Amino acid sequence: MSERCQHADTVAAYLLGALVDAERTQFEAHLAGCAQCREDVATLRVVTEALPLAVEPVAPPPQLREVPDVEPSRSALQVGPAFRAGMSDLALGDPSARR
Amino acid sequence: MQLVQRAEASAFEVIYDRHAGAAFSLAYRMCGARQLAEDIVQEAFLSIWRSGGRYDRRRGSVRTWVLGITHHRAIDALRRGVVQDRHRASDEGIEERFEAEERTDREVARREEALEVRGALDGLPAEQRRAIELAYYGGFTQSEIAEMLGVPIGTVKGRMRLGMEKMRDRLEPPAEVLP
Repeated sequence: MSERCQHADTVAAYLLGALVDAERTQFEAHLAGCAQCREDVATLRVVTEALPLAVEPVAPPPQLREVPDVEPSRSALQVGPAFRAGMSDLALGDPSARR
Repeated sequence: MQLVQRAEASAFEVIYDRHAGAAFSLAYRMCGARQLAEDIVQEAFLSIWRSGGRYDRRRGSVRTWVLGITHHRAIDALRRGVVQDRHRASDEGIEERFEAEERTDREVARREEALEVRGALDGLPAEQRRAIELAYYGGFTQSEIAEMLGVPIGTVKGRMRLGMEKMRDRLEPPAEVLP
C-alpha cells in the first residue's frame, strides 16, 4: 500500500469549505499533482453532497420564484441554442429525481 | 425571440420549483436569517440563470450543483461578515416548515434521504460531528474551529476526515461504489 499523502487530512477541510482562499488555492495546486488526494476527494464528496439534505426544510418565500430581470450573460447569449439546451437539460435532467 | 425567452424562463421555473426549497433550507440553516437566506438563494439562482445551464455533468446531479453553488454563496456571505450574530437557525425556531401538503413520491424519497443523512451525522462521535457541522453549516474555517474548540488545527482536520469517512461508509457502503 502506498504511503499516505501528508496532505490527506486537508481533503476533508477542502470539501467542507473550511479552507480560506489562499489555502484552497494552494491545495488545488497540490491536487493537480496528487492522484491519491484526487481519489480521496472523489470518494468523500458523497458526504458533502449529502450534508445539505439533512437540514430542516424551510419554505422559501414565493417572490424568489420570479425569473431574474436580467439577460443571461453575453457568452450564454452567444451560444443561444446551447443556452436553451442547457436550461432544458437542467429542467429535465436531474438524475437524483429519477432514482 | 420572446417565445424563446419564455421557454427559457419556463425551464428556469422548473429548476427553481425542484430545487429552491432545498437551497433555501440550506442557506437558512447556515446564516439563520430569512432575509439573508433569500439574498443567498437569489444570487445562486441568478448565477444559474446567467450561466445558461452550463454545468459539468460529471460532477453529479443538478440538485448537487445547485446546492453546491448555494453553499459557496452562503460561505461567502458568512465570511464577509454579513451575518453579525453567527448563531444558527436551530437556535431560533423555524416558523415555516414544509408541511405534508405535497406527499409526492419524490418528497417521500427526500424525507427518507434526509433521515438517512441525519442518522449518519448523529451516529458520529460528538467531536467529529461538531467539527463537520461548524465547517459545513457554520462556514467556519479550520483555524477558527481550532480556536473555538481549543485544539490544534491538525486535530480539527483529523476529526473532519475521520467523521467524513464514517459517514461515507454509512451512506455509500463500499460494495455499492459506483463506477
